Parts: sequence; C-alpha cells; structure tokens
Amino acid sequence: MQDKKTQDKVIIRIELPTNAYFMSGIRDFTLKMIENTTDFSKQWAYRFQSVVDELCNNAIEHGSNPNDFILITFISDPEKSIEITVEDHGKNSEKIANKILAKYKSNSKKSQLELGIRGRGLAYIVEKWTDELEITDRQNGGVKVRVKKYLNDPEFQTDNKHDPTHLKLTI
Amino acid sequence: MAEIKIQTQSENNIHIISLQGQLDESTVNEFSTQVYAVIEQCTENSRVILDLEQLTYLNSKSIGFIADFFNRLQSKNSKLVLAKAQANVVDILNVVGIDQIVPMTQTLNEAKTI
Repeated sequence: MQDKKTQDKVIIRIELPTNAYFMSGIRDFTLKMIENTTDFSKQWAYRFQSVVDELCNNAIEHGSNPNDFILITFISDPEKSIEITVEDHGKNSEKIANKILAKYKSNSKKSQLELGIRGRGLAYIVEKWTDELEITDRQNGGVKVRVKKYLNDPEFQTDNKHDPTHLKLTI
Repeated sequence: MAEIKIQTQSENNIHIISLQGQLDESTVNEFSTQVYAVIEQCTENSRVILDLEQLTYLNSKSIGFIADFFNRLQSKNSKLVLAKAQANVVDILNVVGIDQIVPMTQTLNEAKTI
C-alpha cells in the first residue's frame, strides 16, 4: 500500500458480492487504508472498521437480493476527512430511505433492554462515530448511505467533551 | 472469512465461555447457539463469564445477543459478566452502551466474584 502523507484526495471503489463471507477482508482493508493513508488515530481506524461493517451488513441483509453486489466507496482527504458510501440495489423498487431513517431515529431513543437483537448498528455505532450521516434513495432502486468524519474541524474535535464514548484508548 | 473458536468450562455454577477470533455476520449465529445452550443448562445463581481476551472484533448483532443473554440470565437470578476485553472491543461495547447493564472486568478472578 502507498505510504501515507500523500496530500491528494484518494478515491477507492469496491464492488462486493452480497455474502457476509467477504466482510472480514473489507474490515481488514478499512483498518489498513485508514491507518496508512490518513492522519486518523488507530482508535478511529478501528471505529471506521465497525462503521463500514455495519453499513455493509445492512446493505446486504436489507437492501440486496442473493447473488447481487453492493458498492463501497472510500474518499480519503488525507488531512481533512474520510468519507464512505455504501450503495445497494434494493430488493424491489420501493423507496425506503425515509423508513430506514425513521427506524434508526426511533432505535436511538430506546434503552438497551427495549432493543431486540438488531437495531444498534446505525443508531449507535454509525451515528455516534461519524459527523455526517445521510440516507437517500437511489434513482434506479436501492439505498445510498453516506457517512463522513472530519479530522481537524474544530466543531468535531475528538476530546473528552465531544467523543461519544469518552474513551481514549492506548492501542 | 472470519473465524470464531468457542470453548466452555463449567465448574460450580460458573460457566466460562472463551472466544477466540471475530464475531461478525458469518460467525455470530454459531456463537449465540452455543451460549444459549449454556444458558439453558444454568440453574439459579449461576454465572456466565464471556472471556473476550482473544476476541478481536464484534458487531452490533453480537452485542444484541449479549443483551439478550443478560435478560435470560437475569430471569434465572443468574449473572452475565464480560471479562478481559481488548481496547477496541471495549470501545464498541461502550459506544453502544452495553457496559451500562452488563458488568465488565479486567480479570477472570474479578468476573467470578463481582
């Protein structure tokens, strides 16, 4: 992998078959890509590994038919931000972005004991570990989820006041 | 593909379930099946300890199962404890908020007595 510190924006697109079998490879890629090409800490590399995993699992389980694929796009602006989009083709032509949005907002208000097995991915991990989260319907079917995390924007500095977990790890 | 190895040791109502590998969409069902089998055997005042020392990743569905294990054990007057989790795993457990209901310890000895 290219050494870090390139100042240029890097765009990487991956087509992933809708099979959970491949997700460990995508998690490994995410971790290394963020570690090696951005100034985000290792803790944030691990966090983005989770964000990508949750988004892809949602796209595979709720937005895809068997033998389909999803599209993952990483846009790394080395000293500014990391942006990730995950797009699926949908199971049919129904527009469901607003339903997903309403569901995750509802889940984020529930206690741990009120939630079932599902419902923590978008509402907790993705929402809390990103600065922007946007869910939109794709024109020809399916959903596009875009998340972005800023590196040095003062509004989003990760200190004890702003870090949702108030946790600084030594990894 | 992710792999998970699960080993269970039981002694005097204390069940230690050690996890090695990753808990993701491809492994979480094997994990839940084995833990539910242990919970099924639990009598009152049992304790199930998940030893997470060798666990390198877990997803939100795994945490959903952990919340369900907690509920089922509580209904048997029994306890669930998470022990020895690695830093990145602690981070995920914290952001989801599961640490607010399920006790977490740094050692197995603590987990047996907390």
